[in-house]
Amino acid sequence: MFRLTINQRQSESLSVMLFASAMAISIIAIASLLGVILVKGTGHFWPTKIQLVEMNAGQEVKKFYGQLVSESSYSDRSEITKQYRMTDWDRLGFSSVYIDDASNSMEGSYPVDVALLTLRSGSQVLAKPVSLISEHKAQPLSSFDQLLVEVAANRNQVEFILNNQIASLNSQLQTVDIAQEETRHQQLIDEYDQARHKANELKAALSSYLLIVEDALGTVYELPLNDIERYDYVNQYSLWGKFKYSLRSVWQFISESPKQLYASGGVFPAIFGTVVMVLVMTIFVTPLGILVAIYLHEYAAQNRLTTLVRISINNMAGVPSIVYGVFGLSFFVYELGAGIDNWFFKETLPAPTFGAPGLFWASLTMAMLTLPVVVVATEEGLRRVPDSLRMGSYALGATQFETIRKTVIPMASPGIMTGIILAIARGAGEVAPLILVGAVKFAPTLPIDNEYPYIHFERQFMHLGVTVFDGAFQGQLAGSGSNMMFAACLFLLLIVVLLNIVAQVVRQRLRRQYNALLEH
Amino acid sequence: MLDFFASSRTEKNLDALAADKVAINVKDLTLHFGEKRALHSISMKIPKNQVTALIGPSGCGKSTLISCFNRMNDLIPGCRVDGSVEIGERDIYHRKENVSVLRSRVGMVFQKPNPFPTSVYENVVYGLRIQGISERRVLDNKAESALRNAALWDEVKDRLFESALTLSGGQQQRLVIARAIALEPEILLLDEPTSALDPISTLTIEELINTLKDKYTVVIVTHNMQQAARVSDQTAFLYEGKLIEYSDTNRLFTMPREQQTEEYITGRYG
Ligand SMILES: Nc1ncnc2c1ncn2[C@@H]1O[C@H](COP(=O)(O)OP(=O)(O)O)[C@@H](O)[C@H]1O
Ligand SMILES: [Mg+2]
Repeated sequence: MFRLTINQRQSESLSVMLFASAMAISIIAIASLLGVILVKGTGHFWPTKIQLVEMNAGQEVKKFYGQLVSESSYSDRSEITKQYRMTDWDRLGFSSVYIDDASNSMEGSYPVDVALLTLRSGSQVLAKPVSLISEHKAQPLSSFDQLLVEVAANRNQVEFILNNQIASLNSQLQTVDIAQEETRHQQLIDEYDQARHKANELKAALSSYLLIVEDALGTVYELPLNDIERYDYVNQYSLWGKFKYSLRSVWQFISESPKQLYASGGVFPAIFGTVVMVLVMTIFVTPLGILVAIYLHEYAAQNRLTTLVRISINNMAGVPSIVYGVFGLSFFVYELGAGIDNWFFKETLPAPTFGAPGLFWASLTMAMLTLPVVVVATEEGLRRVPDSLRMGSYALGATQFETIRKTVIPMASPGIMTGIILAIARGAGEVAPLILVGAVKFAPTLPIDNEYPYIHFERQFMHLGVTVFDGAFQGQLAGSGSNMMFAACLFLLLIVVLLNIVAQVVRQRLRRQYNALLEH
Repeated sequence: MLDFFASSRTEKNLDALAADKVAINVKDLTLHFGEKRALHSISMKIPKNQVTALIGPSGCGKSTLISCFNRMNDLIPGCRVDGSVEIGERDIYHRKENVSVLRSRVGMVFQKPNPFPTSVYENVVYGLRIQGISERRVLDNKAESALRNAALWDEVKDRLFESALTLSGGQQQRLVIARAIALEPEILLLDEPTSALDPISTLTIEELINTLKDKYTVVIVTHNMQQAARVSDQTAFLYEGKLIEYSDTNRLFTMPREQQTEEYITGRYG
């Protein structure tokens, strides 16, 4: 008897341990997921120190300025492989160097006078600025900032002349009747020549501003100041300086277009595309989902058919998302899209307008995918509206429609909001179906711009999730050893987590409101 | 004793009531929930500007009967009504009857206070807004007079725009009454309006009912016989869906005609 108790107790504590370790494993899994994304994602923005790396390559000693990208050790070999990114002077960009024999390279120093030069093209260069030249005269390095401002002002002026003055003169010239208004025509031509001349002069002046730099071996290069966006002496930065650098990088990341095939620049078009797609999706899915839920809960007789419909809708949420993608491509794009093209865009065929993947079809596909989320959450909200309130409304002479509009929907609105937010989170995070129906790695135009009709439903668009997916296949690495994938991933995670928190708060509020109703 | 004789002599004959004194004329009303018969051919005339109580053990069909007067039973699937209920000499079960209009003419208050989770003010003007009244001054005036008539104005006049859910249970019930009388109905149906309230709130509501009959015909369901005796002019005793006895309240409680009535009011069951 006693023995049995002990055995029981043993097996009891054993099973507790089983549950506890399962719990621990899950916590570790979640923590490491968040940790990796957080570290790698923020690492994209944090400046990496510039090293003077020296290595023995056969007879000669090679030297270069580099930023350490990654360190890895392989179990079958004792040494560590280091990956650096260094400047490729032939194409003014970065290339990677792997140094796998630690004995071959010497521990490098961190020269303070080497700068990370960011070019306007998006490329970056590691070099030691030596001097500046403006108007054929050498200038001290201390005038770097001032000259950059001067150059930017000149550049803006040139752009203004080219884009505004010359463009307007051009259009005026086209409307002038040469025979009728000879003097005016001549005057315009003179003005045009003057503007052109001015622009050329300014351009020539611009190209006379130069930065002289030196690489690790002492070779001297000239860089036009006009090509340089900014310079960072990252080795001199204090913690605060590094922080400011990071903030700037974050801003650049969310406000700029990708440059150099995502090696630099930002993901603004992807964020923009995600937002537009999700908005259009919400416009489709919200009314539809709410109407379906209201019909199911308020109007339809509660019989086997409604139960079946409800179960089907719940199961729709479990259908793999790629299935929606395939459906969207085969039905929306190839059937409906081709039909629309046949009816309305006949003149441009065989080039498809709506018969190709694009924003509209992507939003529609995602609306289908998120429909169950909205329906289920809305029904949940409707279920929480007590019948006594419906009765109260009817007893005051309200019809069913008035009761639904004036009492049921307002009271269920937190539930409806929860559904919409969850749908948005889902829509922002999905990748697989989007690739089939319109999201692309690089789209030359945004889905909304100042060109009539302003919102272009037929255009392909960029999407954060797709950017992340695509980032996994690109080798181009930023200074910190983390490519854009992690940074985009971090943003995606932040957006989705934020949306889920909002949904949670709204749901909590609903519960409190409901409890207040039951108290008395 | 004297009082008893007095009331006995002036006792009205409820069957022979003049047509213009009748608020609700129930004729041979039978009601089924699916196969189950809940009301057995009930006939009764409910007089105008008086308080009529429905009593009987729980499950006897009081709520079902009172719900027939504003057709709330329509909302229950499987409910079938035979016979007729005439209000203002029109059969409200006629197929051309506009149920929404009917319900605004016949207000109803339920057992548990059910204010909308909006402000006190919005609760009172709910029915008016449904009728398409949106002029602020009209709404304000009607809301104030409804709240005054429901003996609630003094308590809520400073918190009209606070949530109705912050009111006490008794105040909520009076708010629900105010919300019904804001529509100036002819008839007010009260289904056990005080059973969820404390004694003091109950008293307030009973006093309110007394003042309401000047303007409205009141039908009240109660399981509390003292309450029926206190507030009503005539009382109907229902048992298992049948109208056993319907007469002057004093008479019913002092000299019941039927055996079952006597057993019920003397507390032998219920
Ligand atoms: N919605 C309904 N469906 C079926 N039967 C009902 C329904 N409502 C009430 N009943 C039945 O009708 C009878 C009368 O009920 P009710 O009028 O609520 O009694 P009470 O006198 O307690 O108010 C009861 O037997 C009850 O079971
Ligand atoms: Mg009842």
